[in-house]
Amino acid sequence: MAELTDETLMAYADGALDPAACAAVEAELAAHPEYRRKLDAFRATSAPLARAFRQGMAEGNYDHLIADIRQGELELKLRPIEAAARAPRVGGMGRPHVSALRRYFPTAMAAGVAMLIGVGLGWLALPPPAPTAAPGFLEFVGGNVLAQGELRGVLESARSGTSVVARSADGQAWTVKASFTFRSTSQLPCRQYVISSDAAGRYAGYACRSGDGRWLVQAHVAMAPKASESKGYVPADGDGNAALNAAVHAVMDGDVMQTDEENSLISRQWASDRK
Amino acid sequence: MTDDFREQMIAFLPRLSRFAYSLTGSADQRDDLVQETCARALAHRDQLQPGTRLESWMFRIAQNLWLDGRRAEKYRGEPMDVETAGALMAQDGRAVVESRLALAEVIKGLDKLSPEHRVLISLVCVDGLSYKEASDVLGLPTGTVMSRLARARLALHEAINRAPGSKATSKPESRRGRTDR
Repeated sequence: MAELTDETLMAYADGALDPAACAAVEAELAAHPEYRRKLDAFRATSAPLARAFRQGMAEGNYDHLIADIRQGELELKLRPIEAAARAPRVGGMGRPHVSALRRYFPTAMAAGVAMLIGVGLGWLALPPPAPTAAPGFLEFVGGNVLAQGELRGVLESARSGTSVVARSADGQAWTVKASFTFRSTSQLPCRQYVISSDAAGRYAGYACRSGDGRWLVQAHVAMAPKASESKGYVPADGDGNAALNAAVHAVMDGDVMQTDEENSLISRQWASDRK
Repeated sequence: MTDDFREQMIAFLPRLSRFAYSLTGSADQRDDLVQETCARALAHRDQLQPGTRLESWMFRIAQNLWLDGRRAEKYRGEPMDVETAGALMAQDGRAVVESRLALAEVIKGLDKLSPEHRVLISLVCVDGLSYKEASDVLGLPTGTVMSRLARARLALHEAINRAPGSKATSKPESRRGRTDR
């Protein structure tokens, strides 16, 4: 053998050579120990590397993903996003990158796109009737959209129908109200809400309370202005209200919760007595 | 009713997850990449050519998404999470801490490589594909895969061992305290 190439040394280190080729490499190694250093480098970047990942990587929890794969939900989530990515954008530079599903939310918000985030619903992206979506009431954490600030407070402890006035981060006055409470098909308590501001418009959505006390926003849409205020203006692609109703109906188990059950849940801080 | 395609995908998740971690270096971005890869594969399952293995196809989708994402700076720039308390306590403390440190060094080394080199190392060294299988994933001749992979591994070894304060991963490993399961 005239020269040991890097490829041959690597294949030798990986055990990918036949016995004859191995023997040739070993003869060459014996005659030229300077190849040892490279051989060590190849050995150090195979099994030890795989072991570092096997032992050092915290495993992901893919229970939800697996359920979505089995139930055919995952691909539904992608379709509206791909459609949105193909849609022309003002001032856009060619076809925008379609980002990861979860990372889509902040982009959508930045673009002022109201959204429906449906676990088990399919997703809808509605056109933006207003440039902002209630700053300060929604928070993006680890891929989830969480209710925060006064919205969280209202969902956690206000009776349905009670309005609370709050100021958003940008100083705008908003009315925040839980509209009604229901149980989702996965038996989580969920509440529909409305937030509205004279200057910045109306938004509605629903959020479900996770076991650890977070209110995860499942849908958040821009609503048409109230009929009394509007001059017949309806967003071109339909009313957010209709989309939200459809979304809520799709996940609602049974009927809207009665006042006494809702009160009881609020007073127990949503601890369920159904186990 | 079971769907073979979906069940194969689920069975493949641990490998896809490791591959995605090797590319992104963070659990958060890994999970995004895993999810998006599965969504793409499901939405476009009609594009899987007969005779192509699902895993090769999904590796390809994942690496394309990652490369696109890098271009768009989507999957970059966030610090890796070296520790998760739960996982740290799950096994013998010292062994886990050591292997996590080893992994952190590997990730730092991978961060210094070109994306193409990182993909190759993730496929062959981390997942354990053969050169031929990697060439199927990437649509490259096996010879090209081998010469690139050799360069990539020498570069990675150099990066890891040049890093200040690093322990060389080429050292013989201590078996002390490890509980192989």
